[in-house]
Amino acid sequence: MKKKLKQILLIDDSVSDNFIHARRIRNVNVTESIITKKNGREALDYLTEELPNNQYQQPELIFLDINMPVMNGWEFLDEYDKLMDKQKALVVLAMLTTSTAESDKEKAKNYGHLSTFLEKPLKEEDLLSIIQKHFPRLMEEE
Amino acid sequence: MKTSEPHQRQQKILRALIAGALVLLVMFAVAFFNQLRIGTIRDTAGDTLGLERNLAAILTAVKEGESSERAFLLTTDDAYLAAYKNGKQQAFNNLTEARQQLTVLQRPSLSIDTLQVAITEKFATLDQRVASVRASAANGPLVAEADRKLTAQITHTINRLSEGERRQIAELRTRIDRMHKLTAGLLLFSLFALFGLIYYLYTRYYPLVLQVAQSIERRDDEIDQRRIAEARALTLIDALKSKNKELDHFAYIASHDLQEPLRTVSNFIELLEEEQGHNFNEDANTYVNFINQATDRMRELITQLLRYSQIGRDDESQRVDLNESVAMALINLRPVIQESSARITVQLLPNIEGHPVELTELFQNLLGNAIKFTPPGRVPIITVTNSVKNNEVTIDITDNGIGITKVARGKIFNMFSKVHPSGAYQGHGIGLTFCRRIIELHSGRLTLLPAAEIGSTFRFTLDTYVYEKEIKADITD
Repeated sequence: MKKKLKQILLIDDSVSDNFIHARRIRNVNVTESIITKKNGREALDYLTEELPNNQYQQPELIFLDINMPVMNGWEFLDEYDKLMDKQKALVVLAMLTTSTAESDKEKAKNYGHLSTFLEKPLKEEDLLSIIQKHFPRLMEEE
Repeated sequence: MKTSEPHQRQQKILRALIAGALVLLVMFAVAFFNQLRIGTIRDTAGDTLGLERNLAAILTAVKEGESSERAFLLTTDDAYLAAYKNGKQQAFNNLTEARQQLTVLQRPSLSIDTLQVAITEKFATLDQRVASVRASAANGPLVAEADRKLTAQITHTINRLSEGERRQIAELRTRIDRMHKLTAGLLLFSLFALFGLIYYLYTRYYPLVLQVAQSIERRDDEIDQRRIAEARALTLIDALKSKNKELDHFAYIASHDLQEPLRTVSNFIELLEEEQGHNFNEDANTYVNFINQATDRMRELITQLLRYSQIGRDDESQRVDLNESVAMALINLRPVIQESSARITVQLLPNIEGHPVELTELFQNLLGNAIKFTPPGRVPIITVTNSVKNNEVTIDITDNGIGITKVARGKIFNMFSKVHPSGAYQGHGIGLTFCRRIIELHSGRLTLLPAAEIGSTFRFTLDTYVYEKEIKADITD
């Protein structure tokens, strides 16, 4: 049995997008669990929720939508920056909608931990290449 | 008609004024000369009066001389002799004066001559008597008959003369009186004439004055109304501007938000194909294809709508070299130009104040259309000509393409309208709508020139200046 990620966090207000993304992630079979949160605020609450043994959820990979109610992707990133390292994920990836892609890419230059942009919806090939790029060891052991 | 009427009336009034002024002038002249003549006559009357008094003085002097002589004859007192001599001297002096006065009055001196002879004779007689008395130192004959006669003659002559002069004076007085009356009458008449003239002018001019006052009032009203209308127009313009902004914003929001559900539809179709595709029969595949085509087209339409709503939104206008805009458009069109081997001639274009990205898109759309709507097998020949006049450049883009039919002419500028059967020519039917919007952004108009034998010509204008800033400044002032 190949090694999997412990947890992937999807932050997106679109139920249908979450459904599709969760389904495709499950199809490529790279993680033990998939958690979905509807906006930045809920996601922050989830990340900062303390578990027994001074542990945190700490998902390895976060897919972040930008355009969300309550707390959007940019606001989330501002808050995320202030978290302790053990609360943070290994990789955060922003997902962009085509219509706002250009202006959002401009803005994203101000956020250091965002180097990759993905266009929604994610495809299975996209997921595989992301895993290969950020978690090469998972692919090796396959 | 209307213009000549007041003119004629003015002529009439002018004539009346001149006539009135002439009459007044004549009357004043007559009165003036009359007054001058009264002065002369009065002088004459004064002279005549002086003459009359002189004549009286002559008589008195002669009589005094005679009585002094008589007193001397009786008393041989030298004092009386001196008084006699004095009287004689006085008589002759007055006589000389009277003669002069007669000359001044231009009267015949005949009677004064007679008088002088009589007086001279009289005093000669008296002198003789005085001399004889002094010689003999005795009393002489007191009054001779001849002497008495002489005195009577002198008295008579003087009285006659005086009478004449008095008559003369009375006559002159009557004349003066008459002339005074004439002057007064003339002045009174002039006064009436003056009043008449003033009244005439008043009746003639009062309606004019009224008219002028009314027209001034009317004009003030018009100015007020125009000002109100202007203010209303400005408010309307403001309202329209904000409505336009709202519409643009609406188009933006709508097109943006429409993408979400559309994306969901296409995403799930994709998922359906991925997961259930192997179970699809031929019919199911056809359905899915139709759905995909529809979502593709809708996505494209929404994207175009979004772009349309964003024309002129982001950037300020700046100096744009239209030659560069065309050059950029040609670079973007390079593949189609090469494919069709189109020949494009561009006349040197001016610089304008505008939006560079939109202007490039404008040329790209129109040139692209010109190439696209050329029948297969024909080499597209396109010319871009222009002329500048009054801060406005007019640009013609002429092609040798399929042209535009009469029926199609009314439709081509409508959004999403395609006049060719689906599939004959590719496109979204939005190009010309884009063009028109971009041209309107530059205060211009897009028209299609009347159909020629072959091809078509799109003509559009662009303002070389953007007035928007100035208008805004005016409103805030």
